[in-house]
Amino acid sequence: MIEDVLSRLDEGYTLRVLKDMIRIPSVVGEEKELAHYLQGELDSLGLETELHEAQPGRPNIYGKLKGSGKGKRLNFGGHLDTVPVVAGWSRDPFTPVVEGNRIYGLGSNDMKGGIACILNMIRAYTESGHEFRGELSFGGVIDEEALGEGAKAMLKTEYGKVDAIVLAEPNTADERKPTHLGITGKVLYDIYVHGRAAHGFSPEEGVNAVEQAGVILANLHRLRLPQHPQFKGNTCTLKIEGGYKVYSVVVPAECRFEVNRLLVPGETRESAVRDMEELVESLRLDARVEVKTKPPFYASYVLSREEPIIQVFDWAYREVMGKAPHYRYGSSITDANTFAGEGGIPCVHLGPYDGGSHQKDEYTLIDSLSPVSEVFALMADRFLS
Amino acid sequence: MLEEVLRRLDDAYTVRLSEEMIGIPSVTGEEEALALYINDKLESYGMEAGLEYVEPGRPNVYGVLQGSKPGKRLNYNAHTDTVPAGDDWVTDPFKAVIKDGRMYGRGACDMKTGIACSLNMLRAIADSGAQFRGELSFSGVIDQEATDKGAWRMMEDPWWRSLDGVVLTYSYCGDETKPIPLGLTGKVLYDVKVKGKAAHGFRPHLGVNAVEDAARIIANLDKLKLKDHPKFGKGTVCTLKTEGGYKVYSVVVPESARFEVNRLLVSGESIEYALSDMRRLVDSLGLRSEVEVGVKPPKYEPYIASRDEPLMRTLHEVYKEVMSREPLYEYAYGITNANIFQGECGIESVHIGPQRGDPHSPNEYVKLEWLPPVSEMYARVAMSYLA
Repeated sequence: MIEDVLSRLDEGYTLRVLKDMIRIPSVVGEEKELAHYLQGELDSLGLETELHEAQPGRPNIYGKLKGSGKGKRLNFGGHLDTVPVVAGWSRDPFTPVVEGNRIYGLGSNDMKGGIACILNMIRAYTESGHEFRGELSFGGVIDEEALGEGAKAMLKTEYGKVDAIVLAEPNTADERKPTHLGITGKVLYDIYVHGRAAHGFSPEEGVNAVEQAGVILANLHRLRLPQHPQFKGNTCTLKIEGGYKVYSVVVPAECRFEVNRLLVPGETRESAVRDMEELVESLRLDARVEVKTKPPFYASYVLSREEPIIQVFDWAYREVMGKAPHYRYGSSITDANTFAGEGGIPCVHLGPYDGGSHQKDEYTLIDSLSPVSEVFALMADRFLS
Repeated sequence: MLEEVLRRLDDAYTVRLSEEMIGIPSVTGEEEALALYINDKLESYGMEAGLEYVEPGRPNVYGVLQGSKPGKRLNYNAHTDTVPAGDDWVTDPFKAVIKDGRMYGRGACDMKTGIACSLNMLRAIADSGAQFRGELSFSGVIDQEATDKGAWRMMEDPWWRSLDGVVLTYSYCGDETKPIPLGLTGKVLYDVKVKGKAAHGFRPHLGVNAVEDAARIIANLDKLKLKDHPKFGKGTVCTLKTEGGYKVYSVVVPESARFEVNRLLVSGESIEYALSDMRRLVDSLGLRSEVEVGVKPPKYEPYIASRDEPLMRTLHEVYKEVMSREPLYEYAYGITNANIFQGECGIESVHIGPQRGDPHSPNEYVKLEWLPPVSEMYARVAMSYLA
């Protein structure tokens, strides 16, 4: 019975595991020790675990529990890495500290708190011996805070074929931090403008790559951004450089700039590149322009309210929280861009309270942890029946 | 006496020195080795020679030959630095290559052959023992391709400040490709700083993008009001550099950007005028960023010379004699150290040198057929002016 699971949920366990994890620094690039800790924990819960070296020295950690008979495959997970320590922490970011309802530490909400909530739910499942069909699994991936390489690597494994993924990111699905029904994608244009050098006193004899780049940037608003019912694309120039390294009066032959573009569902890296090439062509420049892109690239995705995992989530959330969840069409990139956008796996985001993720003195609220584990338990039960 | 000098001019010597000097890279900042080379040559002619360190590792080089009686003081001037090599050379930029009557290399026309012709002339005059009045000197200054520290330092010395004339041995050859300057444009280097407002790059409407606003100014530089001077025509405008945006990758609306624009000024355009012109342009664009328009060194006011002055008249006659035609003159675009010698300090300056081939570009060259007449013109101007 599901009550067997629910009665075994233990906030003390969640807190213990969360504190353990905060004490293990896992700044992006340094996820290995945390992956090993989680493997140990999942092993002790009786899961079949596996470390998968997504990048040299940086493993993802997976664990699975097989149900009794064929059914759907549901994965709970998230990223192992945190952002680096930003300036201004008034306490040690790697020492978990409880103050009233708050627990402080780097990654406490983004997203070690969420991972702890998942482990609490899985432990309750294994201890209760509650029956389910299909497969219940855990995925902890590297690199979400950088280029999403962990999620991309996971897509290439057996876990790339699960039926749904629940990401325990700190979306409480309330007004303050709705959960995503879809997320924009993103491409980073890397544009090279090639001109021709000449003496800077007779600029007409050359082709000024900086000035030609200026023309492109001044006309970015003419990029044809598609209409989408839920999303708006946009562009934002992030950087430009061109001209002399050591002062000399020479027409600059080279200039390079980067433009971030948010993509809507249906747009691909190739379609984005074509849009920019068309814009450049329409400007009839004298310079030769190369439109390239730089990582990271993320695909956009959108789910309907009728998607099975969304329906299960919606029901479970109402059961536990006593109110309806809030949804949004967001622009914050998560691993769902990879899992859903590229992999076609529907995703749900639910986790504990976001108390300043990516900021100094990050914390989560202790009383937001248990309800999340409860929702997870109900979701697993209903989806895997 | 003149014949003795002309007899001792040696074209092979000029070519050899040109090759050797091209083989001594002297990109702005790295002038020392070339200055030492020139110093050796001047000393070997029996001139009083020496180095003056303008900055650590960067000396001007001078050589002086006194005449037999007091008289006018004439200096042959060159800059020892070159621009960097850059890309797209077919041959090694620092190894002179002679092909089809041309010598290729960085500095081939800008301006190591001018130096070589001067050295050829000085050796010939010193060796010949030819008598002249006054003083004949050479100066090789650093930094002309940047901010002219060499020429400014030279003019701080009252000794040089009191010269009567300077022959700048730059590649102005007096024909339709590069007439002799009767005046030079001024120049200002705009330094424009753009200040926006940071925001998350996914929500750019919440910020103010300094890089995009800087680009709008750069894309509208053709709206600067260039005055049309009856002799100079209009000045020119050229963006030299821009930078802005993240140092370490992050998706943030850039809150600062800057760019530099070179503007040549014609008579009637002061530096003040140029500044207010750019400020007016920026205001007209209605940008949300805050924009600060300033200037960076170097800056020069334009100047106008006269054909009626002693050195200019001497050059005119010499040119006709050697080239069998009249020189062409113009009010020229360009900045040379004459903006300082004549424009700022009032010393009569003329420019004469070999014909230029692609200075500042890859595969810079000089046509070797120019070197003998240029050496001869240098010798004749010296002997005539200091007679």
